[in-house]
Amino acid sequence: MEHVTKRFGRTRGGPLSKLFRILVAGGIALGVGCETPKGGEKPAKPDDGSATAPPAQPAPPSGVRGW
Amino acid sequence: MSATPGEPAPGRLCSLAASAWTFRCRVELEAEARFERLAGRMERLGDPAELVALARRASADERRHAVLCAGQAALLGETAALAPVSDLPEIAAALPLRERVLYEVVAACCISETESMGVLTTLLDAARAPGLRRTLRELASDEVRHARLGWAYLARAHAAGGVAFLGPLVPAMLGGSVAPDLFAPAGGDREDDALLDLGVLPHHLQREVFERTLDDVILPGLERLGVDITPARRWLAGRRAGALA
Repeated sequence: MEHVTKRFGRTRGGPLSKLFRILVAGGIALGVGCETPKGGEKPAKPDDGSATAPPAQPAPPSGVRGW
Repeated sequence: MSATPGEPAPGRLCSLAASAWTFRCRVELEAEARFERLAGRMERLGDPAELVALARRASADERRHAVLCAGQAALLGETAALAPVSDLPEIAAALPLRERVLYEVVAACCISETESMGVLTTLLDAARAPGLRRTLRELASDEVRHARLGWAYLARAHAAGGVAFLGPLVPAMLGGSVAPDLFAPAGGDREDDALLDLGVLPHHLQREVFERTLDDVILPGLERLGVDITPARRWLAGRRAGALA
Protein backbone atom coordinates (compact mmCIF):
# COMPACT_ATOMS: atom_id res chain seq x y z
CA MET A 1 0.00 0.00 0.00
CA GLU A 2 3.01 2.23 -0.31
CA HIS A 3 1.42 3.75 -3.39
CA VAL A 4 -1.20 5.35 -1.19
CA THR A 5 1.39 7.32 0.73
CA LYS A 6 3.16 8.30 -2.46
CA ARG A 7 -0.08 9.30 -4.15
CA PHE A 8 -1.20 11.34 -1.18
CA GLY A 9 2.22 12.96 -1.12
CA ARG A 10 1.74 14.50 -4.56
CA THR A 11 0.26 17.66 -3.26
CA ARG A 12 1.09 20.27 -5.85
CA GLY A 13 -1.65 20.06 -8.43
CA GLY A 14 -2.61 16.73 -6.85
CA PRO A 15 -5.44 15.57 -4.66
CA LEU A 16 -4.93 18.20 -1.97
CA SER A 17 -5.07 21.19 -4.26
CA LYS A 18 -8.25 19.63 -5.63
CA LEU A 19 -9.58 19.35 -2.07
CA PHE A 20 -8.73 23.01 -1.51
CA ARG A 21 -10.66 24.01 -4.62
CA ILE A 22 -13.67 21.86 -3.83
CA LEU A 23 -13.96 22.56 -0.11
CA VAL A 24 -12.42 25.95 0.60
CA ALA A 25 -12.98 27.80 -2.67
CA GLY A 26 -16.35 26.08 -3.13
CA GLY A 27 -17.38 27.01 0.40
CA ILE A 28 -16.28 30.62 0.03
CA ALA A 29 -18.31 30.94 -3.17
CA LEU A 30 -21.31 29.47 -1.36
CA GLY A 31 -20.95 31.95 1.50
CA VAL A 32 -20.60 34.93 -0.79
CA GLY A 33 -23.68 33.84 -2.74
CA CYS A 34 -25.92 33.54 0.32
CA GLU A 35 -28.43 36.29 0.82
CA THR A 36 -28.58 37.89 4.22
CA PRO A 37 -32.19 37.65 5.45
CA LYS A 38 -34.28 40.81 5.12
CA GLY A 39 -33.56 43.31 7.82
CA GLY A 40 -29.92 42.32 7.98
CA GLU A 41 -28.24 40.23 10.58
CA LYS A 42 -29.87 40.16 13.97
CA PRO A 43 -27.91 41.11 17.02
CA ALA A 44 -26.85 38.05 18.95
CA LYS A 45 -29.54 37.05 21.41
CA PRO A 46 -28.70 35.18 24.53
CA ASP A 47 -29.01 31.46 24.05
CA ASP A 48 -32.07 29.97 25.68
CA GLY A 49 -29.72 27.64 27.50
CA SER A 50 -32.29 24.91 27.59
CA ALA A 51 -29.93 22.17 26.48
CA THR A 52 -26.54 23.24 27.71
CA ALA A 53 -26.26 26.12 30.13
CA PRO A 54 -22.67 27.38 30.32
CA PRO A 55 -20.97 26.24 33.53
CA ALA A 56 -20.05 28.80 36.18
CA GLN A 57 -16.39 28.41 35.26
CA PRO A 58 -16.40 27.60 31.56
CA ALA A 59 -14.04 24.92 30.37
CA PRO A 60 -11.25 26.09 28.06
CA PRO A 61 -12.11 25.94 24.37
CA SER A 62 -11.70 22.58 22.77
CA GLY A 63 -12.02 20.98 19.37
CA VAL A 64 -14.37 18.61 17.60
CA ARG A 65 -12.92 15.15 17.50
CA GLY A 66 -12.81 13.74 13.99
CA TRP A 67 -12.17 10.34 12.49
CA MET B 1 3.54 -7.24 8.25
CA SER B 2 0.77 -6.78 5.68
CA ALA B 3 -1.62 -9.53 4.80
CA THR B 4 -1.30 -10.86 1.28
CA PRO B 5 -3.82 -9.19 -1.03
CA GLY B 6 -6.96 -11.27 -1.31
CA GLU B 7 -6.41 -13.07 1.99
CA PRO B 8 -8.77 -12.32 4.88
CA ALA B 9 -7.30 -9.92 7.44
CA PRO B 10 -6.19 -11.50 10.72
CA GLY B 11 -8.66 -11.35 13.60
CA ARG B 12 -6.64 -8.84 15.57
CA LEU B 13 -6.74 -6.37 12.67
CA CYS B 14 -10.49 -6.89 12.31
CA SER B 15 -10.83 -6.13 15.99
CA LEU B 16 -8.80 -2.92 15.66
CA ALA B 17 -10.84 -1.85 12.64
CA ALA B 18 -14.11 -2.70 14.39
CA SER B 19 -13.14 -0.41 17.27
CA ALA B 20 -12.31 2.35 14.80
CA TRP B 21 -15.71 2.07 13.08
CA THR B 22 -17.49 1.97 16.46
CA PHE B 23 -15.63 5.12 17.47
CA ARG B 24 -16.59 6.76 14.17
CA CYS B 25 -20.22 5.86 14.83
CA ARG B 26 -20.02 7.80 18.10
CA VAL B 27 -18.34 10.74 16.33
CA GLU B 28 -21.17 10.83 13.77
CA LEU B 29 -23.85 10.75 16.49
CA GLU B 30 -22.18 13.68 18.21
CA ALA B 31 -22.06 15.48 14.87
CA GLU B 32 -25.80 14.86 14.43
CA ALA B 33 -26.46 16.66 17.73
CA ARG B 34 -23.90 19.36 17.00
CA PHE B 35 -25.32 20.34 13.60
CA GLU B 36 -28.87 20.42 14.97
CA ARG B 37 -27.76 22.69 17.81
CA LEU B 38 -25.80 24.88 15.40
CA ALA B 39 -28.78 25.16 13.05
CA GLY B 40 -30.98 26.43 15.88
CA ARG B 41 -28.40 28.96 16.99
CA MET B 42 -27.70 30.13 13.43
CA GLU B 43 -31.40 30.69 13.00
CA ARG B 44 -31.52 32.79 16.18
CA LEU B 45 -28.58 34.84 14.92
CA GLY B 46 -30.41 35.60 11.67
CA ASP B 47 -27.92 33.75 9.49
CA PRO B 48 -28.88 33.00 5.87
CA ALA B 49 -31.60 30.39 5.53
CA GLU B 50 -29.46 28.49 3.04
CA LEU B 51 -26.75 27.92 5.65
CA VAL B 52 -29.27 27.04 8.37
CA ALA B 53 -30.80 24.48 6.00
CA LEU B 54 -27.36 23.07 5.24
CA ALA B 55 -26.70 22.60 8.94
CA ARG B 56 -30.06 20.84 9.40
CA ARG B 57 -29.37 18.60 6.44
CA ALA B 58 -25.91 17.85 7.83
CA SER B 59 -27.50 16.69 11.08
CA ALA B 60 -29.68 14.22 9.19
CA ASP B 61 -26.66 13.11 7.12
CA GLU B 62 -24.71 12.38 10.28
CA ARG B 63 -27.46 10.12 11.64
CA ARG B 64 -27.26 8.12 8.38
CA HIS B 65 -23.46 8.07 8.64
CA ALA B 66 -23.69 6.65 12.15
CA VAL B 67 -25.79 3.78 10.78
CA LEU B 68 -23.24 3.21 7.99
CA CYS B 69 -20.36 3.15 10.49
CA ALA B 70 -22.29 0.78 12.76
CA GLY B 71 -22.82 -1.45 9.71
CA GLN B 72 -19.08 -1.62 9.05
CA ALA B 73 -18.43 -2.33 12.73
CA ALA B 74 -21.00 -5.13 12.64
CA LEU B 75 -19.30 -6.71 9.62
CA LEU B 76 -16.15 -6.83 11.73
CA GLY B 77 -17.91 -8.34 14.73
CA GLU B 78 -18.69 -5.34 16.94
CA THR B 79 -22.03 -3.78 17.90
CA ALA B 80 -22.08 0.01 17.92
CA ALA B 81 -24.78 1.79 19.93
CA LEU B 82 -26.99 4.13 17.90
CA ALA B 83 -28.69 6.10 20.68
CA PRO B 84 -28.79 9.85 19.90
CA VAL B 85 -26.45 12.10 21.88
CA SER B 86 -28.45 14.29 24.26
CA ASP B 87 -25.66 15.77 26.38
CA LEU B 88 -23.30 17.30 23.85
CA PRO B 89 -20.88 19.55 25.75
CA GLU B 90 -20.11 23.12 24.75
CA ILE B 91 -16.66 23.48 23.19
CA ALA B 92 -16.34 27.25 23.67
CA ALA B 93 -18.69 28.06 26.53
CA ALA B 94 -16.94 31.29 27.51
CA LEU B 95 -17.61 33.03 24.20
CA PRO B 96 -20.70 35.13 23.39
CA LEU B 97 -23.23 33.35 21.20
CA ARG B 98 -22.15 34.69 17.80
CA GLU B 99 -18.47 33.94 18.44
CA ARG B 100 -19.36 30.59 20.01
CA VAL B 101 -21.24 29.54 16.88
CA LEU B 102 -18.44 30.69 14.60
CA TYR B 103 -15.87 28.89 16.75
CA GLU B 104 -17.87 25.66 16.66
CA VAL B 105 -18.53 25.87 12.92
CA VAL B 106 -14.82 26.39 12.23
CA ALA B 107 -13.79 23.57 14.59
CA ALA B 108 -16.41 21.16 13.26
CA CYS B 109 -16.45 21.99 9.55
CA CYS B 110 -13.28 23.83 8.52
CA ILE B 111 -11.12 21.52 10.63
CA SER B 112 -12.78 18.17 11.43
CA GLU B 113 -14.92 17.73 8.32
CA THR B 114 -12.13 18.98 6.06
CA GLU B 115 -9.71 16.54 7.72
CA SER B 116 -12.31 13.80 7.25
CA MET B 117 -12.22 14.47 3.51
CA GLY B 118 -8.45 13.95 3.57
CA VAL B 119 -8.98 10.62 5.31
CA LEU B 120 -11.83 9.53 3.04
CA THR B 121 -10.06 10.35 -0.21
CA THR B 122 -7.02 8.41 0.99
CA LEU B 123 -9.15 5.44 2.02
CA LEU B 124 -11.01 5.52 -1.29
CA ASP B 125 -7.70 5.24 -3.11
CA ALA B 126 -6.90 2.08 -1.20
CA ALA B 127 -10.12 0.22 -0.39
CA ARG B 128 -11.09 -2.62 -2.73
CA ALA B 129 -14.19 -4.26 -1.24
CA PRO B 130 -17.27 -2.94 -3.11
CA GLY B 131 -19.38 -2.58 0.05
CA LEU B 132 -16.70 -0.59 1.83
CA ARG B 133 -16.15 1.59 -1.23
CA ARG B 134 -19.88 2.35 -1.43
CA THR B 135 -19.89 3.38 2.22
CA LEU B 136 -16.81 5.57 1.83
CA ARG B 137 -18.25 7.24 -1.28
CA GLU B 138 -21.53 8.00 0.44
CA LEU B 139 -19.72 9.47 3.44
CA ALA B 140 -17.41 11.56 1.26
CA SER B 141 -20.18 13.00 -0.89
CA ASP B 142 -21.90 14.37 2.23
CA GLU B 143 -18.73 15.52 3.98
CA VAL B 144 -18.02 17.83 1.04
CA ARG B 145 -21.19 19.77 1.91
CA HIS B 146 -20.39 19.77 5.62
CA ALA B 147 -16.90 21.17 5.07
CA ARG B 148 -18.22 23.79 2.62
CA LEU B 149 -20.74 24.95 5.19
CA GLY B 150 -17.84 25.86 7.47
CA TRP B 151 -15.86 27.69 4.81
CA ALA B 152 -19.01 29.52 3.69
CA TYR B 153 -19.81 30.58 7.25
CA LEU B 154 -16.25 31.70 7.89
CA ALA B 155 -16.19 33.66 4.61
CA ARG B 156 -19.28 35.61 5.69
CA ALA B 157 -17.83 36.28 9.12
CA HIS B 158 -14.62 37.49 7.49
CA ALA B 159 -16.57 39.84 5.24
CA ALA B 160 -18.28 41.21 8.35
CA GLY B 161 -14.91 41.68 10.07
CA GLY B 162 -15.51 39.21 12.88
CA VAL B 163 -12.76 36.59 12.72
CA ALA B 164 -9.78 38.17 14.51
CA PHE B 165 -10.51 36.38 17.80
CA LEU B 166 -10.11 32.97 16.17
CA GLY B 167 -6.34 32.91 15.50
CA PRO B 168 -5.15 32.24 19.06
CA LEU B 169 -7.92 29.66 19.51
CA VAL B 170 -7.11 27.47 16.50
CA PRO B 171 -4.56 25.37 18.44
CA ALA B 172 -7.32 24.38 20.90
CA MET B 173 -9.48 23.33 17.95
CA LEU B 174 -6.63 21.31 16.47
CA GLY B 175 -5.67 19.67 19.75
CA GLY B 176 -9.24 18.56 20.33
CA SER B 177 -9.68 17.19 16.83
CA VAL B 178 -7.09 14.41 17.00
CA ALA B 179 -6.28 11.39 19.13
CA PRO B 180 -3.87 12.35 21.93
CA ASP B 181 -1.28 9.89 20.59
CA LEU B 182 -1.41 10.95 16.93
CA PHE B 183 2.12 12.30 17.03
CA ALA B 184 3.54 9.43 19.11
CA PRO B 185 4.92 6.27 17.55
CA ALA B 186 2.40 3.43 17.49
CA GLY B 187 3.99 0.29 16.04
CA GLY B 188 2.51 -3.19 15.98
CA ASP B 189 -0.81 -3.89 14.36
CA ARG B 190 -1.76 -0.19 14.22
CA GLU B 191 0.86 0.28 11.51
CA ASP B 192 -0.32 -2.64 9.40
CA ASP B 193 -1.16 -1.51 5.87
CA ALA B 194 -3.79 -4.26 5.70
CA LEU B 195 -5.97 -1.96 7.82
CA LEU B 196 -6.59 0.06 4.66
CA ASP B 197 -8.67 -2.79 3.26
CA LEU B 198 -10.86 -2.52 6.36
CA GLY B 199 -11.38 1.22 5.94
CA VAL B 200 -8.84 2.34 8.52
CA LEU B 201 -5.60 4.29 8.06
CA PRO B 202 -2.42 2.85 9.57
CA HIS B 203 -1.12 5.18 12.28
CA HIS B 204 1.73 6.72 10.26
CA LEU B 205 -0.60 7.47 7.36
CA GLN B 206 -3.22 8.91 9.69
CA ARG B 207 -0.66 11.39 10.93
CA GLU B 208 0.60 12.15 7.43
CA VAL B 209 -2.91 12.79 6.11
CA PHE B 210 -3.68 15.03 9.08
CA GLU B 211 -0.53 17.11 8.64
CA ARG B 212 -0.79 17.45 4.87
CA THR B 213 -4.48 18.35 4.94
CA LEU B 214 -3.67 20.93 7.59
CA ASP B 215 -0.66 22.31 5.71
CA ASP B 216 -2.17 22.36 2.25
CA VAL B 217 -5.91 22.88 2.73
CA ILE B 218 -6.96 24.09 6.17
CA LEU B 219 -4.24 26.59 7.09
CA PRO B 220 -4.20 28.26 3.65
CA GLY B 221 -8.00 28.45 3.82
CA LEU B 222 -7.98 30.03 7.26
CA GLU B 223 -5.28 32.48 6.21
CA ARG B 224 -7.21 33.48 3.09
CA LEU B 225 -10.17 34.29 5.30
CA GLY B 226 -8.25 36.51 7.67
CA VAL B 227 -7.48 34.10 10.50
CA ASP B 228 -3.97 34.47 11.91
CA ILE B 229 -2.42 31.03 11.49
CA THR B 230 0.82 31.77 13.35
CA PRO B 231 -0.41 30.09 16.58
CA ALA B 232 -1.59 27.06 14.58
CA ARG B 233 1.77 26.74 12.81
CA ARG B 234 3.50 26.99 16.19
CA TRP B 235 1.22 24.26 17.55
CA LEU B 236 2.01 21.98 14.62
CA ALA B 237 5.76 22.64 14.86
CA GLY B 238 5.61 21.78 18.56
CA ARG B 239 3.86 18.47 17.89
CA ARG B 240 6.34 17.61 15.15
CA ALA B 241 9.28 18.45 17.39
CA GLY B 242 7.79 16.38 20.21
CA ALA B 243 7.43 13.43 17.86
CA LEU B 244 11.11 13.66 16.92
CA ALA B 245 12.34 14.00 20.52
